[in-house]
Amino acid sequence: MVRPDRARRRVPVIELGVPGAEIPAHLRCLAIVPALNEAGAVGDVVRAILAAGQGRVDVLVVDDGSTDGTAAAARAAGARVVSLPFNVGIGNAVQTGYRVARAEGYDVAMQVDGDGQHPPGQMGLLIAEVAAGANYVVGSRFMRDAGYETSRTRRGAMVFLAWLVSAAVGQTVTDTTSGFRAADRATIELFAGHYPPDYPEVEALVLAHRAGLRIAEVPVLMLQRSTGTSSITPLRSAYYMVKVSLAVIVQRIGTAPRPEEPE
Amino acid sequence: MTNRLVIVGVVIAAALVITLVSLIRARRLNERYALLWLIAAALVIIFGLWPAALDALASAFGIAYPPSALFLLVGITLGLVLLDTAIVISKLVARAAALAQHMAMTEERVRALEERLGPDQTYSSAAPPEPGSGPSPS
Ligand SMILES: Nc1nc2c(ncn2[C@@H]2O[C@H](COP(=O)(O)OP(=O)(O)OP(=O)(O)O)[C@@H](O)[C@H]2O)c(=O)[nH]1
Ligand SMILES: [Mg+2]
Repeated sequence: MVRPDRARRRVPVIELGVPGAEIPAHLRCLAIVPALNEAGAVGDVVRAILAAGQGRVDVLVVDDGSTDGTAAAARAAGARVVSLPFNVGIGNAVQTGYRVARAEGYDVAMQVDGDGQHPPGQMGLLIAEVAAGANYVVGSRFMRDAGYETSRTRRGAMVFLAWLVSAAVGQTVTDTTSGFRAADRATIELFAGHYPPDYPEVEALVLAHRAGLRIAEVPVLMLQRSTGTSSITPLRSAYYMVKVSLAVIVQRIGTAPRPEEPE
Repeated sequence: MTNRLVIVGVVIAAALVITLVSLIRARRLNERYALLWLIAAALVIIFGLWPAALDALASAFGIAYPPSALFLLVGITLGLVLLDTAIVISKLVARAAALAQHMAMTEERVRALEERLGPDQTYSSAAPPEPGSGPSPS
């Protein structure tokens, strides 16, 4: 099904070296790239991250049971690849990256989508915010009008989630579903132990807030998906909204953290 | 007078107990997960064969028709069985994911180590296992 937002997409021009996107020299950074059947895009994403990373960013692609050669494409482009034996969902996949980051003592873990929607040239904007003292930084599409177009329903859902999360964490968050994020060491430690197993973005914010971590948002430009297929369908969106809202509310009421699974 | 509905219930419960016991004996069912089922069956059998207790139970609940009290009790117990199953499944799913993560991380480390060893220096060529000492493919 062709969705209207695909048909009238307007791709903003992004230059790789956005001013202020320099990556602080003293930080070791791991870019976690979740990828499910992204063979067509993941190679370029990996190369762009390595180029933008100025030698200070390692790339870890988390291949989650892809069947299209995603792992080989990522490896050929110079990434480390962790291949999960079966699909464990985006949250568990990303957590694998946080566990690697914890085990290897990285200072910052970045999350960058494998479909090419997050321009790696802007990683520095997020990492700079970590260097300035934030624990968990979200790249927001909506903080300034950056020409990101999406369908009206999806936009409405995003506004609702922004309201819900802002109320739950006591600060304004404009883009709760953005998967373009940076985490400092405290956040890496938290997420390596506890991370929502599926549809994690929204819940992770509340989790971080409850752990007393400082959340910050920085404006970024994002691209529309260019190849591959979106994991989002109407039925899944409905499930997503119910599941995520419930998770936020339950988190808000207060839950004991689940015991960490033995490693 | 014994209610015919209750007799049917007792017969079904007895059949359930026999099935559960033979499944446990065949090691196809863990006692832990049979327990709540056995309790449900035991409730039916005990109250079915002891109508006075059933009548007392029904009047305590304010239920005019005693067998309804019995099946309400069984309904609650089976609800607990389902909830217990959902809890167990949640735990298993979390463990499967943790295992998958762990395995994938370990595999990546092994690959990196093998690459560092150089071409053709895989585990088997670096240290050929003594016949019968290594893990045998079976
Ligand atoms: N590891 C893993 N990655 C996934 C899974 N599902 C999606 N992804 C990846 O997560 C990233 C985001 O997924 P998308 O389907 O693009 O979701 P989205 O960006 O919110 O939606 P679009 O705007 O339609 O692209 C992509 O890099 C996907 O390859 C999964 O089950 N496991
Ligand atoms: Mg995407």
